[in-house]
Amino acid sequence: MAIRSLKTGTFSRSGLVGNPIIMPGSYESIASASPSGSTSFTFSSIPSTYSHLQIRYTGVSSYPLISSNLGAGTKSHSLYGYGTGVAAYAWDPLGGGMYVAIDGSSGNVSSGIIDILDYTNTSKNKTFRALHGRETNTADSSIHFASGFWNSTSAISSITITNNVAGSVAFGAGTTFALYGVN
Amino acid sequence: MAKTYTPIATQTLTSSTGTVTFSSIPATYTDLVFVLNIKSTDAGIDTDVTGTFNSDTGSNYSWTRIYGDGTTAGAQRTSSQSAMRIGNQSGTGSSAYSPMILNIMNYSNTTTYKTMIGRPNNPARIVDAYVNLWRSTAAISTVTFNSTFAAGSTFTLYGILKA
Repeated sequence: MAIRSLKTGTFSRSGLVGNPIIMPGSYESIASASPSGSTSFTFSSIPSTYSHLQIRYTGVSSYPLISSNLGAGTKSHSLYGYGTGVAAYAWDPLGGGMYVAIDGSSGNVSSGIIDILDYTNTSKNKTFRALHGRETNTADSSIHFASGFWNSTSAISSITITNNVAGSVAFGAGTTFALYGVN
Repeated sequence: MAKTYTPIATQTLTSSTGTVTFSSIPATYTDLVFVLNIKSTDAGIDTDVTGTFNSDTGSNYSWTRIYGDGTTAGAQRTSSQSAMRIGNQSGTGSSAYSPMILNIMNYSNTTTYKTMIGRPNNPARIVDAYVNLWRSTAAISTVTFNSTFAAGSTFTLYGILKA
């Protein structure tokens, strides 16, 4: 029999004897940020108790860059479609970060999901993969696949997102970033 | 840390239909994730799937996609449409169902337009990724999918709540 929260209206399964076994969930929310008006922010003191991390975001951004306690990273790549064509880029780190996507114009709403697998594994160099999209109802729209590489086997304990190469453009109103851990 | 990625609702079709709707979606999450595994009743392997938010059929949608179909890698976009483009599903010309994961970001906020980034897949024909925009700041409470859906197609909705 399901239990419904009077506060949220959501259903959850009951742990009463006789009900199906409830396995603990493996996807947990760790932290969130609303960096509107700021040019960058950091998820710090990331617990080392998960296998993977996921960052989910939406809001007004320019050229989102990802860096960590491992530094700016070594390389990032992007494959993207911009409406009339496809293109691919590779970048060495700029401005202390690796590109998640090239957006170009502030004031447009972008969304994306960044996966960082095995972030505490000290036998593997660290990588990220991302799916990012900006749709503006104009030709200034694009959908991106991205990947990035830190040439370090150290564990990731903090992640910084900067809005553009120079760090001079603030995230716009309504921007949110959320960090999740996956077991 | 709070566990999340909560199942909200599932629809498994016992007969074919042209419309699947999820309504009264609680506003208590941050993002919504739809996981679809669907098939069309159409002949062939190429049937479009579209969608709307809050039953809005005005010219308030636009999308951009990147795709590869085995011979061509390309991109496409449209403006001011009356529906989102979800993806492309296979029909009776293939035994394959089409798996799709759709992410509706910050769906209940009333400050920004709503975006959905998706990875639809039609194993019989194409791989692609989409970004859709609904030019409305309204919170999303209803999602409707339109196509020709065959019995056995499944639609599952999850909610993700940020810390």
